Amino acid sequence: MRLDPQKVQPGQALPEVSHTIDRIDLIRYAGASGDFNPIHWNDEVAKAVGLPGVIAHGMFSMGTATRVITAFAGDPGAIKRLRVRFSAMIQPGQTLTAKGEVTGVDGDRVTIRFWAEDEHGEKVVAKGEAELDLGPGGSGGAVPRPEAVRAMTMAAAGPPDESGDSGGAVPRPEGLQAGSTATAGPPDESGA
Amino acid sequence: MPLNQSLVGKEYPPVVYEVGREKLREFAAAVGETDPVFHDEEAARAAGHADIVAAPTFPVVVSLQATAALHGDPELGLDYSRVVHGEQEFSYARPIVAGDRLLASSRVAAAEVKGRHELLTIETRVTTEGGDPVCTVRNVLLSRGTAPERDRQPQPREAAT
Repeated sequence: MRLDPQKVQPGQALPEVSHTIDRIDLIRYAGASGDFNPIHWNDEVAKAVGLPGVIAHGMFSMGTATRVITAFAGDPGAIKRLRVRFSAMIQPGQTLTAKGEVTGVDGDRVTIRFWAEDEHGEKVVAKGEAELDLGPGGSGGAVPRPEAVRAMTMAAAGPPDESGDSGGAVPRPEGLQAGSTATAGPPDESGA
Repeated sequence: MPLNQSLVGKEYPPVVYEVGREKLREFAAAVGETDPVFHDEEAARAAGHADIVAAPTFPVVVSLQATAALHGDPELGLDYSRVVHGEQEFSYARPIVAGDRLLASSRVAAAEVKGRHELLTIETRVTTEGGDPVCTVRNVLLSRGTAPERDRQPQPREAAT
């Protein structure tokens, strides 16, 4: 059931989603998505490229984080835009918790910031932005985007290339150190 | 090896993607989406959709097929062992549903130096076979340490230490 925009307030927190990652989740995601990069399922390969072991696909983390948005919107057709930045890796045995907050409401248009963090509070999925159109025609196609909504989104998220906040996404030169990278590899370069 | 900046704007041939119900169910289960609209035709129709709906991040599956040619383009010079996923964005005209026959074509949207690294932005347009927009998928890949020496910018973090 699509969320009623009348019931949405700026600052409102979205119900959290939490998931402890099991290795089978990553194997299942590899099969479902077609991303068979071995760093997501083979410890030897992961260690050979400097990782502590297998790490989750970035898109597994985004997919899990997006559950806060789908659950809140009540209708996937209401989602007009999703954007995230990957800021740290997460491994099997760790718990990913996704959270969100309404940043703007303009008629039927709602903007949300969301993120997902590990059990230490480190952001794995950062700077998430979601735009919903909760109007009756929301799933029918492109709806003009009011400038006000755009402005609120930008204010919540900051400019895309702001260098100071993306440090987590830029790995240190030594390679793939804990906390330094996000991750998702090629679907077709398993040997790389 | 630095990315070939002259390829910004290059488009790769479209691929056809046929959206199957079981694939959508499998993907929804893999990301933990339990809403019946992602799994059950009746529930999806009752909610006003033509068929089972794709989970919002499903277009990445379509885009992965479209970007295979780009990833493997020797002229671009992308070394996947150096790549990490930096950002991902989806803009939706409408949700993908089972039975859709989609066309997806990728292009090199940007290649820029950031410190010692390079950022490669890939944009994949997903449409119906008739050309109606469905979704635009944008991903930013970070190519570690491949910036050409002459273009390298000091990074604030490095400069401070």
